[in-house]
Amino acid sequence: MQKNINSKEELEQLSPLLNSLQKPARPSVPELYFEGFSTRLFRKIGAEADDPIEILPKDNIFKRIKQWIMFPGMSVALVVLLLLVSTWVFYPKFSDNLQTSMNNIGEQEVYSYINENIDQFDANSLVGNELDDQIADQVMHELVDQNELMKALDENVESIDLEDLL
Amino acid sequence: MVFDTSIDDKEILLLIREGTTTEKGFRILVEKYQKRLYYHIRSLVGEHEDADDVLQNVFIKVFKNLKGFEERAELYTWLYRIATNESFTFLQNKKKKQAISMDVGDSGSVLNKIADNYFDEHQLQEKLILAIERLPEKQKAVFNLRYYDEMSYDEISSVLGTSVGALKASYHHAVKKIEDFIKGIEYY
Repeated sequence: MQKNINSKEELEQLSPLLNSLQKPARPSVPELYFEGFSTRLFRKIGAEADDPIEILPKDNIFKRIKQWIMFPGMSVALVVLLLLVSTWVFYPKFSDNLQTSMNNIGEQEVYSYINENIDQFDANSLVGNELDDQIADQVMHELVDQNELMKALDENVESIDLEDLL
Repeated sequence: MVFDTSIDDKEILLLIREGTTTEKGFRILVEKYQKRLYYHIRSLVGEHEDADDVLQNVFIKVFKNLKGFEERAELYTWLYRIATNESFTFLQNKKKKQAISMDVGDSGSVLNKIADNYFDEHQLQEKLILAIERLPEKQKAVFNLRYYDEMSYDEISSVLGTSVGALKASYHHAVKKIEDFIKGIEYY
């Protein structure tokens, strides 16, 4: 260690009183403290080296999971993932079940259901799309005699307001 | 086993960096610096038990980081820097704990305890010890490094990371305070 040769002179200039005092003795230490210090130190270092695995207390793990879930981006990702997984797991079963149920219903049963509940169907929803139009055409061709239809139209054409048709 | 503590710091570093002699090198380092660092730490933290804990932590930190030590600074100033920082950290934690428990004794009793640890019969020296103990932490560190360890300002600057000018001002101010304290007790 480099000693500063001017420290004594500096103190003499700054404070002759302090410079005149003998430096206080070092504080006392327990007997053989320094002799045993390195042994205790290496025992401690060895103990730390033998125990490198950090075992987290239970509450610490829950706290970490909670913090992880509370992270905004992570919680959004978790919700999206849950939705995707639940759709993937449940949707095919649902659509299979629906198809199976529909296959088990007889044609006659369907027609009787429609006839019984025809009043409850909304007219707009029946003609609302292309598929409904096709079904309507099919029904018209299969169930309604074309001659009777033309006859009914001829008889009632005068009572139909032209503006309503347009 | 007794090690030769007169070995140069550079040789110690070589021993530590050579895989087969790492432990030997580190033991020499501990033997060489334990007393100086202990008394430096003790002068800052006060109690022996606290100084012992801090000193062990200092050497553990040194042990973990020594292989990466870059020789831009002297080894011993690096050791003193770690010891000083660890002591300050210890004191801060202690203050926090005391603030929480609200179980702080009066400062006089702390000072008396410290004074009791010194084996000097001269009353003025006891007053000097009390005066040093009353200094703020950092100023006390500057004073001790200059007064007891007789470091140059450049060395102290390397330990504390403070400019030489600021250190000189701090030391001069500390000396003035100590003198005033001793005179004040003398006169009254």
